[in-house]
Amino acid sequence: MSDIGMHPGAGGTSAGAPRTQFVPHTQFVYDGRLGELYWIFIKNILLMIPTLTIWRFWGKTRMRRYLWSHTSLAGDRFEYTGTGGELFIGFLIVMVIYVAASIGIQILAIFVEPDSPILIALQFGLLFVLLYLTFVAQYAAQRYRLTRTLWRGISGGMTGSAWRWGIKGMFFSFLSLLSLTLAWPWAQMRLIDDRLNNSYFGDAKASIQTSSKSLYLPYILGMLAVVVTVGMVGYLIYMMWELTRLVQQHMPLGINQFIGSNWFPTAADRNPNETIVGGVAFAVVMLIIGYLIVATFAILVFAAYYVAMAHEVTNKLALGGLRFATPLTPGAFMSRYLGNVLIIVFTLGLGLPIAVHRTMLFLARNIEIIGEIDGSEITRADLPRPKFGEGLLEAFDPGIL
Amino acid sequence: MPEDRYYDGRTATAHRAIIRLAGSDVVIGTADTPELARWPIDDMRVIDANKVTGGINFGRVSDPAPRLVLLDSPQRQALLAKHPHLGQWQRRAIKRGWSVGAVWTLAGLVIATGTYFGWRDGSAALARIVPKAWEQRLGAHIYKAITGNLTICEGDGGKAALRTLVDRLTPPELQKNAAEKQDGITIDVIDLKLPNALAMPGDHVLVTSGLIELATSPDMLAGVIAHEIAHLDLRHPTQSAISNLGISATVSIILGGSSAGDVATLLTIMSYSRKMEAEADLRGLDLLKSAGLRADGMAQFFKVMEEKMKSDGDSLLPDWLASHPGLDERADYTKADTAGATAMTDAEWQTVKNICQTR
Repeated sequence: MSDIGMHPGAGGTSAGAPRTQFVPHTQFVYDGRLGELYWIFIKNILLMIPTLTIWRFWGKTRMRRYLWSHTSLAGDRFEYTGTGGELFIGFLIVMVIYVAASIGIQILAIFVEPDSPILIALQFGLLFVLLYLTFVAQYAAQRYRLTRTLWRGISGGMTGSAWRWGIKGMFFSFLSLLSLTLAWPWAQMRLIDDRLNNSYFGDAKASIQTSSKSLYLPYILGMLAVVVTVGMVGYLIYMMWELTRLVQQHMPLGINQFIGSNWFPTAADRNPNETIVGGVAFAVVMLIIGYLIVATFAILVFAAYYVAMAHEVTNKLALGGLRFATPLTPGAFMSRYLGNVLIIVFTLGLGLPIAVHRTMLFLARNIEIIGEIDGSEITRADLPRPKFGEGLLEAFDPGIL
Repeated sequence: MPEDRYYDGRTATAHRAIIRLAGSDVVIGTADTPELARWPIDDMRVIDANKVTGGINFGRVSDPAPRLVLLDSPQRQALLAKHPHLGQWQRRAIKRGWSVGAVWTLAGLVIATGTYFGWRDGSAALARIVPKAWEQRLGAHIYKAITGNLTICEGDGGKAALRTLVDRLTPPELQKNAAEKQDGITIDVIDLKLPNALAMPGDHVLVTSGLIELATSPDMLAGVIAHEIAHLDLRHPTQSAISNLGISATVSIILGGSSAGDVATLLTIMSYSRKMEAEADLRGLDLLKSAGLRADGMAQFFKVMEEKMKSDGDSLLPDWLASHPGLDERADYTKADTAGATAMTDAEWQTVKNICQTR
């Protein structure tokens, strides 16, 4: 026999090993090098400037090509077959339609009163459509990536309608809003199920039937932590405000003026331009700090929830005869996400390749495939291949990859 | 250990490939099957190479799926040496990368200059064909939004004096428009310390009481009002509404709405605005002269403004970043002689000065 069946572990054994009761566990292997990734990243950054950032689509494609081709399963490498042109055209179509719609509304605004119900309805409608499109985008992007991923000469695919899934997503979001987000874990799992049950590798269909039972305890604990923290912060701010008011009321006028005119020059004392520049810089710094605090808090509080979700999905997922598992722990989850947020913020984005490299190793470490990977049963399926890339996602949900 | 692989593109089977060259074909087989497939070399292409294993990934031009991964071997060397379209794949890939980069760099330059000049001159042309009725509706919204929280000064004598001045300065083509609607160019003084004046779509002019306070002669005020009427005559408010919309749309189509895009939009709009201000200064001088008024008030007022700015503390922003040209530059190119009549009598000027005192 010269066909390769399965490879226990990453290294692989001789082909045609006798079948035993032993169920092999396989993991993805990522052998990319950070230096090479950085070189691709630097070239991309340099090309972004003279091309008015249009290069980003080709840049993203080069990055993906590198990541895919340095990831292997059972000794065989993945290949990314998408092109920069596909991503660019997909983005362009979406942006032209979106910009035309928003200009249309702005021109209409000239003809009706600013508080006209038609205008408000249209503006509200555009926002609604935008939210809908972020859902549609997720589905469409998954389809694009699956159809552009090749392994052992077979590509992935996806059935189903992104538009229909988007409607479902909107409806579930609305439901969970009505339930004070308590329905969200359930809704999220239904949406994941839908996407996975429509996903294929060759003619092998993924199938999954998750339950949200195991998610509720970590979710409710997380939400409680959010409510308690927000309450405490609100109370603190209220106390400080009251205190300031009291101090101001009882402070001698002389000192107040002294502070006002000499130590903390008021806006009117300063050059207006200086005030604007200072104000913008202050706002940017506050925004970054605010983002850091919220992101850190969300990662810490919801780590257990996302880990429970990862376990639920991997435990219930099946692809052909294969099952999955994950050794993911809340600690590993936090270290990956917190680390990436800190790396990207404190390097002003220049640490992106480090974050990507860490993510690839994280994924390789935390996905286990249980069962014999026997490719001979999987045949090419020729599911519909979208012509253009993730335009919607590029436009409304820019991710790092 | 990595080995040579053949994936036929029909099933996800990994074959341990053994290849041999047969004329213009590559024959792919395994230890069991001498011939699984036969690929014409002309139909082959290199997809990429792996630096970790040294393997080269071959595909076919006529079929996107099948793959042949070959590690370094005498057969592979022979294949690459004999067929330059395969052997020189790396050079061709680099060349392709450069050409995509060069094409888009060139496109970037063309788009940037085309956008800049296109919207600058295009918006001027478009503004001329926008119906006056649209302009008036837009102007009515803006007027309401700006004056909503401000006090409009209602001193009767001052209003009449300003009305007369505006009518004298209004050029014939705008007067024709004025005949169609009831009130022609409207002028309001708002009670605000900050010295400023504003021309809005729909032929509205606003002047702040701070500006009137700063002016030491009616000719200075006439210079400012002539400048604002010139904006209306040149249809600048509509032009900048169009170009702002156009620029922000173009920038967001290209950049997809980022903060770099906001900066680019702002810089472009500022530059357009500087050009329009300079145009309005010169056109304003013409309006003063054809109304038979003294035109030296404008330059004088720029000097007064400049002194005030200096005493308040110098501007941080350099001129090329501001929305208006530098004041000394403007005082220079608007310099005029003292020929012509004074804009108002002393009595009229007093009522204008006091316009915000009487309610």
